[in-house]
Amino acid sequence: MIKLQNISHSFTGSQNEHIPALKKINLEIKEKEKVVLLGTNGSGKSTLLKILNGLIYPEDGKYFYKSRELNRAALKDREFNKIFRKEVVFLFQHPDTMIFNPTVYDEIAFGLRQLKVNDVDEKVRHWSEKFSIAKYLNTPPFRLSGGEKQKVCLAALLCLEPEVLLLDEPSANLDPRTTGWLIDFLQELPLTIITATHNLHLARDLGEKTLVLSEHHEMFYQGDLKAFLDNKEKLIAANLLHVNRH
Amino acid sequence: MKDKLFLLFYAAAVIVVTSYHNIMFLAGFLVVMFVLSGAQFLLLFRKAFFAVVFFNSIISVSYLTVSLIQGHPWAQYIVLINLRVFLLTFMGFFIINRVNLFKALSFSSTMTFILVLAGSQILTFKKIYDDFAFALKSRVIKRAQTKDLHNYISSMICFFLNKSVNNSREVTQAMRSRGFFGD
Ligand SMILES: Nc1ncnc2c1ncn2[C@@H]1O[C@H](COP(=O)(O)OP(=O)(O)O)[C@@H](O)[C@H]1O
Ligand SMILES: [Mg+2]
Repeated sequence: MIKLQNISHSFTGSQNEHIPALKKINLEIKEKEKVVLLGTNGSGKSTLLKILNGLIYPEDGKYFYKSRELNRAALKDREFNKIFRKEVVFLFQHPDTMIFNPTVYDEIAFGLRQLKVNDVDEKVRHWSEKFSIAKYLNTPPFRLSGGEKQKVCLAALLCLEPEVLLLDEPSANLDPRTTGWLIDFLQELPLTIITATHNLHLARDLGEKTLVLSEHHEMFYQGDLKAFLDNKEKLIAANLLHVNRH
Repeated sequence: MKDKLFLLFYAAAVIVVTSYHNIMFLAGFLVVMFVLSGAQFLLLFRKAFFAVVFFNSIISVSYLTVSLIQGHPWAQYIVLINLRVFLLTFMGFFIINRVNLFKALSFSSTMTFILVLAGSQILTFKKIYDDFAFALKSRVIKRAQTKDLHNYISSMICFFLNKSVNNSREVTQAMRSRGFFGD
């Protein structure tokens, strides 16, 4: 479903210095696979998700989505862009950057209205109940707590019935109870899900497969998630675990 | 040393540009800056233009409206302010590409400290700003309506206003905690 070939990307800093973010990344993700993207802070997880969502075009390498190459030209094609934006959705790390509608209702309905579906109202109610945010439908979303905002964003994305869900550090704004709820919820979603996190406790239940980025922005490990999490040496080498001397 | 000299020239230029009110002089100064910028002319021009266009339009239009109502002359003032703000911005971008501010301010640990703080604030803000733009792009399936763009821009402005108030409070507390104010 998703295939990256030799993807590299870098940024330019404020002093014109070169900041590498990803180096020669190859990967393949099959339909309905649940993948955990691990890596220490600054290893390039968010950049990779943004590339997968067609927000950043990599400097080098190729990205295939359902065997069509995804580049500037492909996303300029109105019809394709529409399909892609509906099928591949992205939950940003800070929900604040995603919300801008006057009420929670409008926030959830935002995508549905663009698609001109008939039962907007029914869908908004269904998803708001599923996320226990129905009582806030008339509230401005910016008034909600971080965790509630995140639920609003998830409802707004999932009501589009996407095929791929990209999540960037979804537990960063959540309390432990909501985190547990989210993990259970995601496990049962029949979608392709790619979750970026540096939180090992969370990782175990978020998928079967893992992609691990090293501190040097290279692919460090690809394969079985449980095997990786049980391998202390590898975890230390990827700077995901620190062993104290005491 | 080169960085310190450059910064000194820049500071002198800013004082000159803000204290002379002669349009011909400022225009001449701008032409000199254009020539000095050489191959980077187009890039710097575009950056400076987009940086000031919003602010300057608002100021110009409001000044124009008030002057027309009160019957004051306005042309001179509007040309002057636009020219000056553009020149200062252009100079700013010109210098930032050539000077390593850390080297230029290395004589003072206070200045370096403030620079680090400002730099990290700017970087955080820029990243969040980028994410706002990315999130909209990601969520727009067909085309955003004017109403949506309006909501989007106002929510972004509110967010940054709130955030900068909170951030400056926190930075001040952190600086106090580290004994910066000596109180
Ligand atoms: N907009 C940007 N400008 C400059 N550098 C950036 C930008 N976005 C990311 N980076 C840099 O790219 C690297 C990878 O960042 P990121 O993908 O955010 O990592 P992660 O999500 O794994 O923490 C980091 O060194 C980061 O500082
Ligand atoms: Mg990140």
